[in-house]
Amino acid sequence: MSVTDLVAAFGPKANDAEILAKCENLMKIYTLSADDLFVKWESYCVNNSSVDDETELSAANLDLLQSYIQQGLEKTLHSASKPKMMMRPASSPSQLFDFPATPTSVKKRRLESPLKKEAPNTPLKTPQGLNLNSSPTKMEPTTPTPHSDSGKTIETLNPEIPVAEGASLETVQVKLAPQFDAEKYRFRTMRQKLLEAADVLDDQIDTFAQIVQEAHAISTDEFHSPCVASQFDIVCVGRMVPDLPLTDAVQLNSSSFFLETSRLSGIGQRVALDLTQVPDYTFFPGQIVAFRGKNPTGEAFVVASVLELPYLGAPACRAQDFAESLALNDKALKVVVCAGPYTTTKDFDFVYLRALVEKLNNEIRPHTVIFLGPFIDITHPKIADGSIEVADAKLAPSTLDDVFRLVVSPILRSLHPKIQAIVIPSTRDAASKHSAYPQDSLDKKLLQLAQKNIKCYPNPAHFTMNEIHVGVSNNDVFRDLKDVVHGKFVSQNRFERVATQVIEQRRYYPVFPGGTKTRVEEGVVEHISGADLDMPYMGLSEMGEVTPDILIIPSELRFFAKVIKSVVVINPGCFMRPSSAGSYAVVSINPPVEGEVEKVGTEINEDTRQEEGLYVLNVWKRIRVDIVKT
Amino acid sequence: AGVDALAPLESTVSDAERFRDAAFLPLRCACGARFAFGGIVASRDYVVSFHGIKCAACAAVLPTLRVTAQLERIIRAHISRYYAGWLVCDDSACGIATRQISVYGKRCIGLSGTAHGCKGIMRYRYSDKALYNQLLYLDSIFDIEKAKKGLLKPFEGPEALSHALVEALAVHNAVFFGVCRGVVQKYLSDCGRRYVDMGGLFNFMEK
Repeated sequence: MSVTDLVAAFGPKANDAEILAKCENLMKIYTLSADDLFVKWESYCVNNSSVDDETELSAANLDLLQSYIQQGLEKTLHSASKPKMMMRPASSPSQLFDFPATPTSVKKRRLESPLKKEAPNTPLKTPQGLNLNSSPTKMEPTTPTPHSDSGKTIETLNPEIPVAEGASLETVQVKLAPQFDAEKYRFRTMRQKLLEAADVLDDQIDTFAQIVQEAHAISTDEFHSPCVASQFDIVCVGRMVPDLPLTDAVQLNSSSFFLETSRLSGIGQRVALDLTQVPDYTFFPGQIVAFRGKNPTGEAFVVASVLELPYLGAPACRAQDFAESLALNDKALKVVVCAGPYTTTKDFDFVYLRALVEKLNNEIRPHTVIFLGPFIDITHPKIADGSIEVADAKLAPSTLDDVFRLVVSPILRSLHPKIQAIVIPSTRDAASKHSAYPQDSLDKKLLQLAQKNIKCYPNPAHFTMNEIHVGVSNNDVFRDLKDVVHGKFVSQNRFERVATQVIEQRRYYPVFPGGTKTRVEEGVVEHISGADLDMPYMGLSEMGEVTPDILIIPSELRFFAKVIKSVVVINPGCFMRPSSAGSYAVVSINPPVEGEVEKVGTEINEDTRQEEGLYVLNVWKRIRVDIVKT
Repeated sequence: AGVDALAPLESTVSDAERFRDAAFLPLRCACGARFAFGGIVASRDYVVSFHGIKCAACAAVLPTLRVTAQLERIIRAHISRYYAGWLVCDDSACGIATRQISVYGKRCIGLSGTAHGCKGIMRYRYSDKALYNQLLYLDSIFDIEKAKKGLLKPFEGPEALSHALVEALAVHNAVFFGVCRGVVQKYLSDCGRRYVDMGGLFNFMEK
């Protein structure tokens, strides 16, 4: 950028302080050499000079040159096909940006995870010959076999029942039917109205008041406000709330609960609770409760007894329906359930998920797989500091959605087309723009999952698998429900207590306010994630008419499978833990056999006008759940 | 009364006014340096080069995914913070902040926790309007048209970039900024505040 260069290019005319300054400025803005600038100038002159009047090298004309260069740039920008860029974001940006020499040596080392290095040495254990032909994915010798104890069963529910053989992979043997209205989950987020949230909270109390009244056959006269002094025993229904507005920091105890009344039952007032007379209880904030007792002084409501909330009925099935599902599949049904995250917190390598899908295709061969998010966890530390790297550098994704499309979708698509997959998001899923609970399903088309055997369901979702009702909710109630326990409940397993509460409250996430996760950095509290409850729509997280036969609620806490109140409750655990392999669940369900099912009533069939038996299918008696190491 | 008493339409408010409380986009470079990104404006901590955002500390250009991942995470952190649902009481004598909601919504549950006594009105501390403006702000810093017109919220301190330079940079970064804007638009498209609630407006017709 020296004066001599410019003079050499433009001739002695350019040797003027003002012109030189202009030229240098242009060279700086557009990073041009003196020669390049001269070429631009020439091209400008050719385009703008009339025959007899040659464009003079002057400060004014150099300003015009600048707008000429600018216009040229804009033109090339517009001619660059923009829509194409959206579909293949990798191509154009990589041409535009020369990626800098950031410390690549470190990254390179990270790319090759230790697992990959191990792979060639470990002998291939997957039975290659068995089912290779029917499998859409080809086994490559470099397939990672993650760990020696991968695939080991670590816990089993009902071990006397044999593990299901699996699907034949020739026909689809399972009928999935959603029991939810997908449209209702398509509400727009980020617009909560306080009054609508309050309506839902108020309604919860009144709904249960009616349920309790019917179940216990209590006359309306017995219901009174617990906030006013009374000399005789009354019945009241309300929500358990903490006594102080600031609850997040405080550990609750037996004396720190208030009871909140509904608008109807006690003009929304809250009253202190005296629980000294109650021997056994388990309470948590947000719980709807029914009490009998009195408020002798007007200061506190003395609870004499806790009225039990009745459970929702078990789903009943018509003889015809289960005959149909038997015709579809007379062998045991096999279902695999796994929940994210699918990578460790140290990298973005989906090697374990890839290995699982191959195993599903060749070895496990389930009828249905339920994949729960998060697939790409927005709280992953490598996203937070921006150091996200994809193992295959050729893919060059430019957004997190690209990462899903280029890395995760191909793995899910490689599932055998006869295996049904259900994909349910988490509010931590980067691929979901609907980051509130209840949560809309993932966008199949956008994420390139538009395959027949892949179904995207909302969170929570209630669906039937043949005749079996399954409820899935991907919001960690086992972590967030912190109850205060007394008496006989103390000795009870915490997971059992929480699951009982979920079934009793008829809501997949009965805790209010929802859990939050924060981090304190340099004295500032930073919000990380939370239950992200969209209160006005919490009705969508209610169970509806029946308690599902199988309840799947993944949690970051320890995996388990338990039968609670005749409901099979499964937490498959995280597929990958922060720095090691996690677990997933393999579920085998024997077909219903007449004689084992319980006849509970009859119904008039509208088509045949004949009486038909209704049966409770007792899924918990014929199910085996294996928790398997990833 | 009269026209003057009406609040101005959101769209007529200038960006400077509208984004007054919006937070800059914090970015972290591979070298560990952190800086606030505010679009193609003068900053001491970063330079927008022809090839993208360049960290002033190590002179490396941030790869696209590094920027979009951090952008998306910060958006989600804002949304999650919004959904944490903190409420504040507007009565200065009370002023409690809580995540509990009375069945009356706007009624304050007060320091006593009994939901009577305090006459203050509860509001969301992080309102949907604040969240919407925050998203709009994050959209604006990748909006090359706004950058060219010099409408971006400036940093305090450094001398402004020349208009010609901004124009040139805007063109060179158009594709990259377009990708970033796509990330913000993903969430703006789901933001309920952007849409008129037709059901609410016209529900009288259902009767």
